[in-house]
Amino acid sequence: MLPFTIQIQLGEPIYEQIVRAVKKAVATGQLLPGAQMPSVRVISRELSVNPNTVQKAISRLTDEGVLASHPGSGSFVAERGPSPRAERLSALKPLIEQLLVESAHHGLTADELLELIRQHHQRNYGNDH
Amino acid sequence: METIIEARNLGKRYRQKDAVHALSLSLPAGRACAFLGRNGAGKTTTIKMLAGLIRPDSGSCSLFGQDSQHLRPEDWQKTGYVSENQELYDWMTGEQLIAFTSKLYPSWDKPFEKELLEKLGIPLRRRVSFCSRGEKVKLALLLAMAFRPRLLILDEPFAGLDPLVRSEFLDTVLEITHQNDWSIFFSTHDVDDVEKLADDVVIIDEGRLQVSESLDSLQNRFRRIDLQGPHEPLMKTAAILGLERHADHSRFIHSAFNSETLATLEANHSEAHIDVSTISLKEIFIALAKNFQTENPRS
Repeated sequence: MLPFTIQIQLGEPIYEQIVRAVKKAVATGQLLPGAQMPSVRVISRELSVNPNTVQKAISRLTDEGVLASHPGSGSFVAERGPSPRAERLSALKPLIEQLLVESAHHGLTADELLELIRQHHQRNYGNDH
Repeated sequence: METIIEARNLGKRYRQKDAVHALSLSLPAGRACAFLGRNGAGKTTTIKMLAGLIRPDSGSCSLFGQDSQHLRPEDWQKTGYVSENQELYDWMTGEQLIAFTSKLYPSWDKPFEKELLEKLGIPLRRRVSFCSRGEKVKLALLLAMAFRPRLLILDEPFAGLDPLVRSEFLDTVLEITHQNDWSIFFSTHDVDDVEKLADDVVIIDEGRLQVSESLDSLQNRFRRIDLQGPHEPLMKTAAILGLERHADHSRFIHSAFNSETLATLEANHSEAHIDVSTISLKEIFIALAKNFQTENPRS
């Protein structure tokens, strides 16, 4: 059993799916800061995917600061210091843009979109952060 | 990085037909390469030339830097090979065949053999000639892997296996990737399995190289695009494959997609709603094969 939930879908690069699954597990508290990540080999076995693919996902997550690697003892979920506001903005901006465009296409107002986000957040991520 | 397989301008003619034409490819150590193509595209011919089983008419190829025409026993002791119609000594039982083959490889790994036996569920006491096709393929795989080859060459290994056996087979092949020095080169039609196993993809058609790149880059440059709502006809470019239009709905596959593609489309068709979706390797393969067929109709 892996400490994060993932259902591999064909079509999208698998390493991107792993990156997203781990980020989601960290965001929902399924993976806590300081938790040890399973080794590349274990993840690769569990998902039946090429270890190079898993390694690529782990490297990406380490580069983005989601995981921290301790030489000799593997990867851990990084303690999250708040990233600078500017950095957070630049990471989210394209996603917000996409969300706004899509909701406009579906005839949603910004207020309705915010309400949907709030509801989704409460249902899936609790309301403690 | 060390190059495990190398082919330079490889060519083979059967009668008047080019089975393989000016094919060049290379496989670095530590990577799995899927070799795809339609029936009769030249996959098996290429693999047989790589393995030194048939002689190329032009060009050359090598395994571990050793010309495929002059592979030495020590090169074979590093190479596991399973072909679609593997010939096994079928008067032996599985047990006898394993005992016999293990003597040929100094690096034969007995505990790994046991592990593979258990995982694949191979009947040991039955004569090979009485085994089913799936059992024979699994036995061939065990014989090709238990000595922990550095290079595994598989020609259509999944053909005709049921989904359960295929998934066991895939897991088993992945075992090889957990050792230090490994490379895998495999041809298949079961493109869905490729996405989990392959780092690189090589596609040939009519003996000619169509695609040779990493799976990630291939998946990143192919997108299905849907335009809905009244819009001007699309400008057909080489990157646009399989364009279809029904009334106000155009659909095609873009083979060189990037962020600019979308911006350009939105600028040219501001009146339409544009949907972009990722597609599986199978859909990429089909789009490429259809496109090739239209451009090079078979006589």
